[in-house]
Amino acid sequence: MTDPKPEISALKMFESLLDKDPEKSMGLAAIEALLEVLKTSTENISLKLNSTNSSSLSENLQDKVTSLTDKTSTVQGLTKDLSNAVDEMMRTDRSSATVQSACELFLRFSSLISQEKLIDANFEAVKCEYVKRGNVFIKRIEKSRSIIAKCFRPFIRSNLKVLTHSYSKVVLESLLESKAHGCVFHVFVTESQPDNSGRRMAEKLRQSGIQTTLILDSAVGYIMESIDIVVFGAEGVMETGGIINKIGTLGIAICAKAMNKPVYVMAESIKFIKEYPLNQSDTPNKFKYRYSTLESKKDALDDEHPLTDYTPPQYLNLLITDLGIFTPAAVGDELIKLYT
Amino acid sequence: MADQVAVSRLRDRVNLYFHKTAVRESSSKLALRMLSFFEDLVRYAHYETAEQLIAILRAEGELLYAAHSNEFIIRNMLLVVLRGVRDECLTQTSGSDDTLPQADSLNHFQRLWFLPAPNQVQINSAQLRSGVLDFIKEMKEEINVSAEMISNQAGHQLVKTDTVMTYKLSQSGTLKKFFSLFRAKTIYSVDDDPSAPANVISSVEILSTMKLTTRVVLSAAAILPDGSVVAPAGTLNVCLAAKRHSVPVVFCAGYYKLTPMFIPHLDEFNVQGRPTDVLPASEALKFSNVSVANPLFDLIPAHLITLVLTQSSAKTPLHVYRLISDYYHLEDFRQLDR
Repeated sequence: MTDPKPEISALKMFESLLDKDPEKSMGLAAIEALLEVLKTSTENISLKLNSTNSSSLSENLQDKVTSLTDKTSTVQGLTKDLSNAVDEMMRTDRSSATVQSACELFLRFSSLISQEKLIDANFEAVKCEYVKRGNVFIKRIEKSRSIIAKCFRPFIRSNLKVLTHSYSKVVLESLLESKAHGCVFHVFVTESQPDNSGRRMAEKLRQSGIQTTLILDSAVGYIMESIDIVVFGAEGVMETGGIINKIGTLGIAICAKAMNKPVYVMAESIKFIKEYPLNQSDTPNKFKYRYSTLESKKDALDDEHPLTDYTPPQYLNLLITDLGIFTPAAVGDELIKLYT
Repeated sequence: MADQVAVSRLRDRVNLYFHKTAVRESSSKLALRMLSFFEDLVRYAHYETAEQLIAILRAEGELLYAAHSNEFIIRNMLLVVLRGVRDECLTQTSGSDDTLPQADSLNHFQRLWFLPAPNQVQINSAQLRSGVLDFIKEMKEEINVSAEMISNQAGHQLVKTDTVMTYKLSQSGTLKKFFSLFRAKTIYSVDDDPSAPANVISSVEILSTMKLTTRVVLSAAAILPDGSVVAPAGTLNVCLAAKRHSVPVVFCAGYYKLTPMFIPHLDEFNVQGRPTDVLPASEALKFSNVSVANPLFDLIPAHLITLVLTQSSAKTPLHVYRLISDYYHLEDFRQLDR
């Protein structure tokens, strides 16, 4: 008799996926972890089927079996499991905005099966359908970054000076793709304190032969006059069309606007969040601070430095996503289409 | 094979059209000619499924656009016709006049992330043909009345006592119609030829005249999805002056000028006119070390524009992107090759 599989901890799965492949998109890791949770619930079901077929079952084993079936034999139970998994993953110290939006969109997509299939009494089939759709979704999201890189190419031409902020995998991939297609340009990267992530970005860019300069966060105003375009990644794209990104983004965007430089944001579609902040204090705390900070300093948040800021849509020119290129105003429409 | 011959003959004829015209015709005539080209393709080419028709149209359209890549209208008309084909296909397969199928939120979701599988369903190709031809006829009719329909909105935008400034009035069919149907008190036309039905001023007088102006009405060559506009060279001066004096700027354009492409740098697309227009050939030897540029278009950024008038609507530049999805199908324009 095989033991029932141990509960897959979504958080552990998520962290291990990111540790194994640091270049993986955070949203993608979150939804892969969710798919694993979905799959393991399926396996527990088939375990139950095997157990009941065996004739000699003691009382407590039967109880164990029933407790397994009670857990995941209904769609509601499954949904509850998955939302518990999402809550667990939100307790990460990495970007919780990305995790939240990616998970919500994944769940919506997987559960949006046609009515006929839902009425099907065979829960096993419904589960399989979920898993199938989940896989399809993941395959599509894996391609997001390369679609964005392709969309971005017309915006870069030779001898351009590009300014970017902190370490963004999407921006990195797009710049590398442009370089691979023969564009010669100069990138300025801000150091991005407190974690010095700009340094990592500059290293990676230099490795591919792109001319890169690392600048102080405070030097942005100084350098802006010689910059041609400004490019940001995003941790989350809000319904307003604004973005949540590493702290310092707002300052750079305002500076660019003042000096008439175009600002482009690159974000995968799984980062669209259904929130409508009006200013910095409106942005939910779970996006601004990491989970450990929120837990330990619940009452003394005023002393904590926020790790992200909200850049309103009037400072952004275009958002380049894998669903297409949008103005900030159009993003709100797209978001509604995603979430209805 | 007969249809291959027919298609190549159509192709030759349309290429000849481009070479014959020494001076570029008005955009509406070009749009009509393009629609006729696609109409003939639909009529004479051979296809069984909608997917085949779309492939034929796209191949011919993209080939033509590659040969004349400064004419956005070619691609715009291709996208209009492709949209017509897809709509026709949808109405036939769903068997009703509803354009939205029942499980539309599911389809919506699918469409957002997945370009739907090509329609391999065998539909009645004769019915498809006649449906698409009807659609093209409607679109042609819309082009014919577009100038008039834009002018009908003039009453909402201007009053009789307005002082209006425009740019090169006599060179734009849309604007000529606009002002003939709506007689404003004073019209200033910048850089126009003296026979224009307006007070002609030169570009150096723009700022001083702008103080007296209450409205600026201009014609666009192309409207881009972020609300910016490609307009004849020299228009940027007028728009900047208008911004400085807080004068509303209204751009008029028919739907055939809606271009689903973003243009970050206009230099790649700008057409150069004749250098002898700037520097006469007789002076050329004297200025042999000078490079003469004569760009024909300006890119007007969205923040300088107050309103965009098309034949069906008046939209602020922020909302122009909605028009794009009205006329073109998502699949066709989402990932365009430049």
